[in-house]
Formats: sequence, structure tokens, C-alpha cells
Amino acid sequence: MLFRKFNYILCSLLLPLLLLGSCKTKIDDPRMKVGDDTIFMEGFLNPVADTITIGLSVAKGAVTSGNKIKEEELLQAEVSIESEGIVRRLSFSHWNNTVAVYVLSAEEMPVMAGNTYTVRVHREGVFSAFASTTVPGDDFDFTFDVTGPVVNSNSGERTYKVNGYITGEKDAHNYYRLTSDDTARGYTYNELLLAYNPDVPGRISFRADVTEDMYEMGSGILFITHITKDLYLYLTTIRNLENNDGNPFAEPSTLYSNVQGGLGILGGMNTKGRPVRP
Amino acid sequence: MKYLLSCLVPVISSVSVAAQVTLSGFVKESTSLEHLPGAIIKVANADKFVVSNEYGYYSISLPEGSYTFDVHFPGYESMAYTIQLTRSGTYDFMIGHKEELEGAEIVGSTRKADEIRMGTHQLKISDIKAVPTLLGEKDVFKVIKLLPGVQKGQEGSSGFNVRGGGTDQNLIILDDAVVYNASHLFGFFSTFNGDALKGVELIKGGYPARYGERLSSVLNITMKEGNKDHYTGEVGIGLLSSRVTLEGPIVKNKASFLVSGRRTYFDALMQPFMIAAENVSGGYYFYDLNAKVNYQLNDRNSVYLSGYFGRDKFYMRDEVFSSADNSMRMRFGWGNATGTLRWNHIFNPKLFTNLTVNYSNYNMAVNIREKSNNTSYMLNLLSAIDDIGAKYDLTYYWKPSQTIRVGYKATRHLFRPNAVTVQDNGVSDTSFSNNSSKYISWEHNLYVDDEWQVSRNLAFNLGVRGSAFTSGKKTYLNVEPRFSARYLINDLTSVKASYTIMNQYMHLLSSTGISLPTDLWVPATDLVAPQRASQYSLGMFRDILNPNITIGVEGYYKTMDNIITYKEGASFMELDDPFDPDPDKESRWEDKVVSGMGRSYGAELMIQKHKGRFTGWLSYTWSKTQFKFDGVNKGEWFYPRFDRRHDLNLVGFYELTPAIRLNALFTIATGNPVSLPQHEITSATFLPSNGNISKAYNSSKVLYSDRNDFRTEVYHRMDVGIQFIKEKKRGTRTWEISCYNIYNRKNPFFYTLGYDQRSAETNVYKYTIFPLIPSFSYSFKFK
Repeated sequence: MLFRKFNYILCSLLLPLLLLGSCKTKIDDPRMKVGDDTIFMEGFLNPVADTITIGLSVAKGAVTSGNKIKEEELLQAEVSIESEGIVRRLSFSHWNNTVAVYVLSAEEMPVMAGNTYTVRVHREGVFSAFASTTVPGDDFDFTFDVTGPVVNSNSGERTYKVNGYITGEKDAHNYYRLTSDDTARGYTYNELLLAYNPDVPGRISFRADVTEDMYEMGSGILFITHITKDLYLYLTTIRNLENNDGNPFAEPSTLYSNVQGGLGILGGMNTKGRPVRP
Repeated sequence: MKYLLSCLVPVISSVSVAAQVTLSGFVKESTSLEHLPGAIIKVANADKFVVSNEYGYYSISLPEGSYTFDVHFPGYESMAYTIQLTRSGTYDFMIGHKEELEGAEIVGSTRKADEIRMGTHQLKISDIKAVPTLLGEKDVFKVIKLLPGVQKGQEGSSGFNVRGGGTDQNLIILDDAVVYNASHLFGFFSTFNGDALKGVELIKGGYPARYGERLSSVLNITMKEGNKDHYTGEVGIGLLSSRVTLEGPIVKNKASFLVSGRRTYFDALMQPFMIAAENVSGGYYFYDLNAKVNYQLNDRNSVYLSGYFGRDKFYMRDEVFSSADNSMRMRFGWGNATGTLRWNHIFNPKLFTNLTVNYSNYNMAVNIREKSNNTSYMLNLLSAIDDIGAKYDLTYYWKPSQTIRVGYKATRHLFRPNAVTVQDNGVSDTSFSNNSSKYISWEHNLYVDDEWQVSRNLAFNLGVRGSAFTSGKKTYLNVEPRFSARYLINDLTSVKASYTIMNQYMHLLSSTGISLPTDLWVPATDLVAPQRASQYSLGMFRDILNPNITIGVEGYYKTMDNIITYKEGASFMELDDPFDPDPDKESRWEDKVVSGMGRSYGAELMIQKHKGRFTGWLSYTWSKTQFKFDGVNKGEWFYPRFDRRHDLNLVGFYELTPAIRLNALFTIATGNPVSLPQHEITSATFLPSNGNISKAYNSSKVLYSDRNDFRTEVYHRMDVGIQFIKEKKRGTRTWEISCYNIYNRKNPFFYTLGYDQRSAETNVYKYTIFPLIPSFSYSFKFK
């Protein structure tokens, strides 16, 4: 009993001190004004797409010194694309969540492999940014086998395994993205980022899963997209940010950006697709 | 007031005139007969000196004659012995604390200018016990962080960084056994119980060839051997823990033992609150145990057996849904165990040898079991190192001006960096496990070291160390030259310079955002090369005899290669990468790290007052450290978390009366570099295959600034303490009242962003964990 009483006395002395200590204070140090609003741009130029789409949004500064961008100013932006001396202006199409989507028909500015494109976004006195990319070629091919179905022991879900490899020019400048689309549902699955590995010369191999429905209904399409190095680095860092959101054990990740005067990416890509079916 | 203690060695001359004779023996503490390593024996009238080795042994050759030997050891009163040398013989010098030597001569203090080595600090155990600390827990590391060249790290953390090196780059050895994780309570306290320690030496640069294996420092900690004369002990009761030490002779003047233990009672204190919470039970505690026995077989042979065992345990049980079907238990523990067996053999007065066999184990384990609706999950995470090794050192006192040391050490390392077992006995009643590799490696070190007093003014320490490390199919071979020089400008002033190369065959994988014992020790492998550093240093030292002050100024430049860090976005908790193109491939830690380089340079000032009623030191460091890794921070140089430009420490001890001592410290330093959230973006997720983002699903992400791009506020605080000491019939009683952070400075522990509803703005907030914290402790040291 005595020891217990002693415990209570000591705890009542200690705990308030420790709790008091764990206090939170606002910092007004101007050196901690860590980020003003800036323009965020995303665009992916692909010869297979019938429309060029550029998304504009506000990268909100965490603690600003007063420089802010209002969303309505995104609507007043001048967005243009230039290639081979030809300049075309994109027009606002719609809002996708908080992203202002600007579009241009590919007939007005054909996207062609090997060509370099520059996109500029400008709003007088508010933001001005640009980015360039060269669309990669379609001089690659890929092949794959499908095996299965395999039953997932936990969920009972049945999937088919896709094993394949990419053929084509292989050097340090080749980067690819793998996706599988379920055309029946309009979903995109299985984003894999692939890069030439000098330790495994000869081919870039890949593995993916498709659902039983996709495979047996024939609604699955496997896409391999040849992408620029900038886009590969951007997607890698975006993936890191998505994977580690809220994980205190994860290393901090910086976003790769090729947009001058803002943040984001203008990426070039060239896609080939093959159905995955029996 | 000076007294003179003169001893005449009754040796009878029967040899030729002016022949060289050798005096050898041990330096011992006068009451306990403990051997004192690192004691300096100056031959006052021959301009020579010798330093007792790690076991307190010394040997010096001189022409026949009468000499005065001044014996110095930190924390002890220096003594003078006058000896008539007529033939070779042995003599054990006894020195003691001031109170034990009433009436004895107190000679000048240790002369910093004389020593050949630079970048070295010997800490007094009495100072470690006097410095006021958090919750009254006496801590070696907290005192080390008050020395120049040692960076503080984070608020409250026990780890330390020396001259721009990581916490893994400190070789912490306890009686020749490596201690891998020397911290308790998630890093707030070190594992070393001051009551069991005899000496603490920190080497930051100018390493003699007998030391290696790490890049940035050697912290050499020696345990007491135990009182050979009589039984004694010490008990201490504090707010956080209690400790007890017992020591005494097994065979009087020949064999002794020491046992010292410490345990926290935080779990017992918290239990009433846990019970009140009803839903959750849990607790945390740590303990450690030091033990040592030694036996002096005869004049030429002694054996020592010592060990350390310490553990931290955190446990929790969720009883909200506790039933036959639903329960959760978690255990998280880590600890070290070391053992050392040493045999000292004196072949002849000039040749001293030591054979050591040692074992060291570090183990961190997490065990989580959860049962929910007929499905049970279990996670075991294990990180461990087992070292077993042997070394043989020979010290040859070749000439009065030259001491040669040669040694060989072999160690077998077993690393288990991340053995994970996950079991899921779900609907389909399946289980799987993922046991990552064990790494067995061998490390060999061979060294030659020559301490050479060329002339009265000029002295060198020259050495070379060869090391080999075999891990898997790869063997790394390296040569490490060592050079130190000292030039005495006059009796009290010297200039010193040194150049060293160090290799380190292991790495510590640490998460940037969180510091826990979950950091993983990994070896150099085929894919990850060993770390390597070279360091240049230059210094000037001045002794002022009255008052007894030493002043040291040192500058250094250090480069580090093959240091590693996690890649951006990587995590040790990431067992499987869902985006891995080859998911069946075994996950390797090497794929998650990147190698890089570091550079650090700085200037250090140390002013120390050794004697008088007021003692203490002032230390100041200006330093700059930067790291660079491919793929991290866009490949640009950045400051590591522990970089601080300025760091000033003032430590003072004042003896108000023999019964009352006042102790205080003040520390102020530039803030730590940190990364902060900078922007929030909305970007396309599941980007359609053709790149059309018209209907892409968007999600928001937080972007951070460049790596450690911001500095926290200036760190400063003052701690004070008062000790009331009273001599009792059976021993000395000490009450200590201390106060950590006396003016309640709110030093930042971490920063976060928060949205303020009223101003509709996001602001930066800091969290503080250690405000003004008073504490008291009681200790009693038996006579």
C-alpha cells in the first residue's frame, strides 16, 4: 500500500510536467514562410490520342507570404502549344475536380514521334510557365504469355498471370509504362514503370495480373507505352508520394518536375496495345 | 600549499655505471587498487614521459640515477614520487582522490601540450556524475555532447555525432566489446551506468593505429575492476530508476568482483493510470547489469572477465475487444549483451601482451499478434548482430623514446538485418514467411604503431593498419596510414597535426523522419562498398599553470565516401513493392539504398579549468557538414539533420563548502536543418493509357522542400544542480536536486503544419517535449 501511495505521489508530480512540456506553439518566423502558391501543369502528348489535354491547377503553398493564385485565374490563362514553329492555343474545356482542363484537337496540332513540343501557360502578373518534351518513337514491340487462373488464397479471387518482355532498341534511354485497361468497366490497372536494366541485358521483362472477368470476357487490353525519361522520373516520384503518404518510416520524396516557372510535367509517350484474351 | 610524497625504491646497485635500467609496474588507485589506464607518468628531471596502457601498465627505461615521477590521471590528484634507480625493477604508483590524500603532494595537472595525441578527451567519472541531467539520470553521452566537435543531434536524444559523422560512425567499446546500440528509452538515455565505469575516453581524430573499424570516433569505456582491498558499494535512487553497485575482494589484493545493476520503474509508476484507463494495459522499462571479476595470478599474469547485459521493453495489450475471438498484443524490445575475457601477460618489463576474446550481441525484436473474427495475424520483425572475436596486442617499450605496439584482431559478424515473419491464418488457412538473408562476414585488422619521442620538442605517433573484410564472395582490403606529430614550442605550448584514414565495413540504415531502435545494421556487401574517411587536423595547445587552465584550438577537414542512405520514398517497412515488375524477386535492402559522399570541416575551442573550488570548461565548435547522394535531393549537396554551425557549451562545478557543490551547464547552438511541407498539389492518378487527362482520377499530394532546407530555431537551455554531501559513519551520502531547462526554454522537438480556422491560414507549429523539469536523487557510497 505504501509503495502504491508513493507511486501516485510521484506520478502526480511527474505527469503534469511531462504533459505541460509537450506543448504546441505557432511559429511566426518569416524564414518559415516555406512556400507560395505556384502553377501546377500536367500534360501527356501521345500520337494515339485524338486530343491534346493540359491540366492546370494550383500547387498551394503550405505557408505563404501572401502570394496566392485563385482558381478562377486558371480559367483566364493563355495556354498554347508550339512545335516546328507552329503555335496553337488550347481552350478551356471543363473542370476535373480542381484541375482546369484545356484541350486541342490532335488534327490542329498532330503529335508525332520525334517532334519536340513546348507548352506555355501564362496569366499576366500571376503565373508564367513552360515545359518541353520530345515524343518518343514506336520502334518497339512486346510479347507475352498468359497462364492461370491462379486462386488468391486470402480473397479467393481468380486472376491470370501475364509474363512478357519488350523488344526494340535497348539502352539507358528507354523507359516504358505498362497498364492494363478493362474496356468493359473503363478502368486502368497495373501501372508498372520499366527501365532498361544494364545488369539484365537483352530484354525488358514484365509481369502483370488480369482479372478472370477481363480475360475470359476479352475486355482486357495490355498497353506498353514508350515514355520520356522526364516522364519516367516524374511518375516514379509521384508513385513514391502516393505510396508513402502518412508513412513516418518512409524517406521524404521530392517531386521531379520539368516545368520552368512552376511544377509538374509535360511528358511524351507512344502507346501500343494488345488484347488479353483466350 | 604543497607537500611532497617521496618514495625511495630500495634497490641495490650491483651493475655498471650509467647503464639503462627499466622501471615498470602499474598505476593504481590508492584505496581500491584499481588499475588506471591512460595515466601519465612524467619524469620531471629527464624530460621524458610514459602513458600507462589500457590495463594501467607502464614501462620506462632510464640511466641509473634519482628521478622524480609525476603521475597524473583525470579526476585524481596528481602525485610526485622520487625514486633512486640503480637497477631494473617494478614499482606500482598509487594515486587517489583529493580527500584520500590529505597531506600528500599535489603537483601540476595533466599537461595537454605535452601529449602527442590530439582530438582526444578523457572524461572524469566524477564530472559525469556531477553534470545536471534530465530527470537526474547520469549519462555519459549527455556529457560527451558538451565537448567540442560533438554535435547534439535532436533534443533529448542520446546518440551523438562527431565531426560530421553519423551515429553509426562511433565505435563504442566497453572493455573491448563493441556496443551497437548504446541507448535506452528510445534514445533519451545511454546504456552506461556511471557507477560501474572507471574511465571514458573519446577520440575524434589523430587515431592511433590500434583503433579503427569506424569513421568518426572511438568511445573507449572501461569498467571498474572491483575493490581488491575491502567490500564496498553504492546505491542510488532517482525519479526514473534506481541502481546498486557492489564490489569487493574475492582474494584480498589479488582478485575482486564488481556487480552493478539499474532498473527503471516507469512501468510500475504508470500502472495505476493504465488500470484507470481500463481499455489498454502496457508499460515500458529498461534495465542493465554490469559485472566483472579479475584475478591477478602472479606478478606477470592477470585475467579479467567482464560482461554487460541490458534491455528495453515496451509492451501493450488492447483489452477493449479482448475475448476469445478478438485480442491484440504488442511487444517491442531491444538490448545488448557483451562479454570479454582478457589475459594480461608480462613477458618481461619491456614487453606487455594482452589476449582478448569477446562476444557482442545486439538484438531488436517486434512481435505483434492480433486475433480478429477467426483470423489471426502475427508479425515478427527482428534485427540482430552477433559478433565473436579475438585480438592479441603486444606493447614493446623498446627505448625510452620509442614504444611499439603491434596487434591483430579477427571478428566474425553475423548480421540479421530484417527477418520478417508474417502469418495469416485466415479463411483459406494459409501462412507465408519472408526470411531475409543472414550475412556472415569476417573482419581482420592488423596494426603497427610507433610512439616516437624524437627530441625534447618533437614527437610522432606513426602507424599503419591493414584491414580485410569478407562478405559473401567479395573481400575488401584496405590500408590505413596514421600520422600524428607534436612540436613543443616551449614547455607549455605545442602545435599538433594529424592525418588518418579510416574504413568502416558496416552501415546503419536510418529513417530520416523518425529515430527509433528500428534502424538496421547492415554489412558492406558485393553491392554496397565499405565507408571510408580521411581526416586532416591541426591544433595548438597551451597550458597555463596558475590558474590551472588548458586551452586547445583544433581545426579539421574530413571527407567521407560510400556512406549510404535510403532512396527517396524507400522504407524499411516496405516488404513488397506493389509496382515491382518482378514481384517474385526477393526484396533486398541493397535495392533501397544509395551510396554517396560527405564532407565536414570545422574549428573547435576548449578551455578547461582543472583545479580549485571552481572547475569546468568552455567548448565552442564552428562546423559545416554536407552530404551528397545520387537521386536524393536532386543529387545536390544538403545538410544532414545534425549539422549545426555554432555550438557553445559552458560547464561549471563550484564547491561552495566541502558539503555543498553547485553544478551548472549552459548550451546554445544553431538549429537543426529540417525538411518542411512546401506545397500541396493535385495530380492525375491512374493516368489513362493514352495520356488523356480529361477524366483522369485526381488526388492530392504533399510536396516537401529540398532536403533539410530550413533551420529550426536556435537551441539553448540551462541546467543547474546542487549536491549536499555528508560523511556518515558507514560512507558518503549525497542528495542532489537538479533542474533541467531552468528558464523553461521551448526548444523545438519537431515541426508540423496546421490549419488555423480563425485566420484561415496554414501555419508552422513547433512541438516541445522537455520544459523545466526538476528532479532529485539520493545516493549512498559505502566506505
